[in-house]
Amino acid sequence: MLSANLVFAVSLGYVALLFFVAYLGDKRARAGQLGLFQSPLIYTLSISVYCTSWTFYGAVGSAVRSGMEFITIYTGPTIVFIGFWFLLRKLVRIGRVHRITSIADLISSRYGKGESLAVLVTLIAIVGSTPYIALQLKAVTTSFQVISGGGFADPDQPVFADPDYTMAFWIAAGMAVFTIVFGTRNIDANERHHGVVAAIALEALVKLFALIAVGLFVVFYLADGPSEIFSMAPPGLLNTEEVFGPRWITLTFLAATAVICLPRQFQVTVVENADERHLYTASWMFPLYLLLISLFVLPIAIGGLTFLPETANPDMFVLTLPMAMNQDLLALIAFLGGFSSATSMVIVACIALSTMVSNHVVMPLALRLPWVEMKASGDVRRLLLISRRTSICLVLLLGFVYFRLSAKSDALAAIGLIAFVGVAQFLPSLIGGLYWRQASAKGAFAGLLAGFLIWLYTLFLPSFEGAFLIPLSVIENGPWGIPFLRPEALFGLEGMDPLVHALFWSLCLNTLIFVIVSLIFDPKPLERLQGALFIDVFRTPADNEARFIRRYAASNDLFVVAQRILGTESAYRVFSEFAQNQGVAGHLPRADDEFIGHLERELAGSVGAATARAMILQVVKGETISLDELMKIVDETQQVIDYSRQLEVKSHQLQQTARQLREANERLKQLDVQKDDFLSQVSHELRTPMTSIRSFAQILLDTPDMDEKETKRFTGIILEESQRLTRLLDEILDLARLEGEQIDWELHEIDASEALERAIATCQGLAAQSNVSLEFRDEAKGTIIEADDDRLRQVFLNLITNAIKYNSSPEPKVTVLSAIENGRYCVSVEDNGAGIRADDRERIFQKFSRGWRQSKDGRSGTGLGLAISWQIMQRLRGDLELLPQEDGTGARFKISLPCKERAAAE
Amino acid sequence: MRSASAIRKARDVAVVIPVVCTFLFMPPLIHIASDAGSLFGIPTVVIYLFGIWGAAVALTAWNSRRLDAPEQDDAFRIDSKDTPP
Repeated sequence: MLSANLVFAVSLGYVALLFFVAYLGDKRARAGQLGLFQSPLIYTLSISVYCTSWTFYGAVGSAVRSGMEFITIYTGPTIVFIGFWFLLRKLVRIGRVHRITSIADLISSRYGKGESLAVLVTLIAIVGSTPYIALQLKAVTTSFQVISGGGFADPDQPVFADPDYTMAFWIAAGMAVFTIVFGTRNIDANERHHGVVAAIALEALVKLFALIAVGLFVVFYLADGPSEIFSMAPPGLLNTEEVFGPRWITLTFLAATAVICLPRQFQVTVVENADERHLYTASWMFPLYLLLISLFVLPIAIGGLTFLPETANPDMFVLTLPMAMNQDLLALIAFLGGFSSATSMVIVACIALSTMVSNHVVMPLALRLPWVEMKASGDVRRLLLISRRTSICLVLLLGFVYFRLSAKSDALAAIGLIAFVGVAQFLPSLIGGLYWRQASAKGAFAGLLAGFLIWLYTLFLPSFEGAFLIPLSVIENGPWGIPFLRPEALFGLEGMDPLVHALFWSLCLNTLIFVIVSLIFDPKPLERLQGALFIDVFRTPADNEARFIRRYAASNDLFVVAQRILGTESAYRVFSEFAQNQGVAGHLPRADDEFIGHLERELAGSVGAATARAMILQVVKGETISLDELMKIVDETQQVIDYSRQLEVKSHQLQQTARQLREANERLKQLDVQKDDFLSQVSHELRTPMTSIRSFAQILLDTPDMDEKETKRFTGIILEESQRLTRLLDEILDLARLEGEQIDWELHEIDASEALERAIATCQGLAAQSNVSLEFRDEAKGTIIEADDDRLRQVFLNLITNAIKYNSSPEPKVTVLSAIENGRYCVSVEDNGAGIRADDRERIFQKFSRGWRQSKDGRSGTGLGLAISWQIMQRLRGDLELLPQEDGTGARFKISLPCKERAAAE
Repeated sequence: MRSASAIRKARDVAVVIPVVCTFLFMPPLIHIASDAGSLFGIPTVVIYLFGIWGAAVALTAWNSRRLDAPEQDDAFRIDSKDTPP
């Protein structure tokens, strides 16, 4: 028999060890040498805070009552963890990227960082967790009484009869101290508690070791191996046919939900996660832990039923079995195991709940209350620390009060599962938030509220059996005697297990209302943005947020806000690190969208997304969310459509470019051919005068005694030929300029008739000299056109002189006629010469294509005049054409230009 | 670095294990074991449940090592499945 003092001393020693481990963890964390303290193993062990005293002691009790059913509490989480790729991975990634501090923070952050949603989640979490904490207090107190008083032995004095409340109070106080010391030592930027995690990892090992030790004792000491212990099983124990029914499925589902939604599980799995890859290890190691811890539950249950008196409480078999066999050391180990499982749960639950209370209830209130003056550096941080410490005490006090009020009823026995159903209400909003874009804050709030109320009415309140709020008569006959509204047979749904019934109604209506309200009320822009960032967390990094939110703030103001929450030192670090990233000198970075987003996330790591946003909004101006940008990434089909449209546009562009390239290539080839032709033509044209110049010069050189008349004639020819050469070169240059020039000419409004008259006047001399009669009929007097005066006259001159020079008629005659045709100013130049040969007509405007073999004086022109004229007319936006010959003689050229206006005289 | 197809296969396995496990843990499949008496003195339903459990743990342990290949961030992953047509 163990003395109370010994048990007490051992407990104190164990608590001292926990303090030491936690201290070591915190110290190593501050020194930055976490090593083993930040390993996948520690992470996995900390997740096993799932196994509370309710499972440590209660699993055996449950096995005694319902056989295999206890195993669902472990297989549910097993399925979640081996399926971590589905959900946990995403949760952990979101938690890390968005600096999530609690499950309330996650849900509120996903649905537009609203405060009311966070408050509701916090409320549900507290209502769900308080009885659970009470259960732990009760377990520790009872186990202490059992081990030190041997209460099991006396059937007339059941240990539950009179729990020692004083001891329970001091146990609660001790837990509060531990939690405050290691859970609120600092408001860490990432809300991790290395000391606490290390301590609960140690506790996880202790409880596993304890249960396995008791199990081995039962199987191999009391019995002779597994087959013998199972042969001792009472016939009813494993008669399991009806166990695998709706309740089996419900419990598995419930446990799976709980391991995600319980605030303390969220705390250790998501918030305390230091490295996403630790999850890869936990995905199999945590199920292994659960398997090991449940391996000996059945043997211990059978052992207890076989070796202990019938009145012994099955919920204490783990402890009473070694005691009955006088195994003091083993009993002490079992006690420490139970103690560990209870304390670790309470500590983590307190941290999680106090974070939620201070971030989502106290902070929003404090920021609103006018008399809370907060302007100093680190003031928010101080307030947070105080409110967290107070919340921890309050939560524990609540748990204690609950324990004090309900300890005598059997309500506590089922409270674990009742709490599971309570937190399961988070599931629809959580899953919907992670996978459904249309999910909106209003829907989440309505669904949660409905689920919570139904849970209260159908499960939580009836669990008091009439002692609290609703009397027994209501539970049995329904409110106002309406059986339709009976809490345990709501809407006439009878004959179900109360737990299955409550889960069915609460979760179904929760989900239904969540979906319907979400479909009715569209999410607000910020909800859409957060939804996109959460749902696409693997594709859209949080930095992307800057793409959608536009806002302005002064760096200084931001610094003051950060200082208040993080304290000067941390704020300075955050700012200067970012400034360095931006390449800005000094410690104040540019307050661009990216930085404000980054800072908001940093602050959210301490105070939660809703408060961080509220504080940032105090100094930020002109926030706009670009919905267009958002829709681009939000809508997946839209993404695909966008993508294919871009592709289409690109390929279209490519096709066009290819065609243009092909055309350009063709043109270049043509141009190359033309250039070759042109060069050969030019050299040919140049050679003729050059040859004659050279030969006459040679003659002059060779015959010194040539008579003067001959010399003069030859020199004249040389002069004339070189003039012709010069003219040719001038015209080539002119043509090259016309063709090469890219800029448009500046056109002026000119009087067309005047230009034409001047050109004719210039040609009168040549006409008289050549005996050509020049006739001019002006039928478009005073027409104003847009043209370049000199260039236009050049065209007139060219056409008229050609008509005069190459007119081979015996009675040469040239007619110039101007007229308006179809709103265009037209001038035709007609001669009565030989005309242009049919095969020359097509290429008459090409270079070096002479329409006339020879002029009257036997000279040929350069062959460039018409080409130049044609080019000029093109540049003047007009046209030059050769009209068909009417009666076989003469050539008729016609130019046309767009009219600007007709003179008023006309 | 594992090949892309090996990682993809590991991902598929990571999805298949929990699904199969859930079916095996649930009625009606579990009734097959619960009807069958005992093996080496241990009820078959116990062996069945713990056996599947252990196998699932072992499979996940083996597979998570394959998943835990040198980190290829999903955001930058070039994966034919993720690229719209």
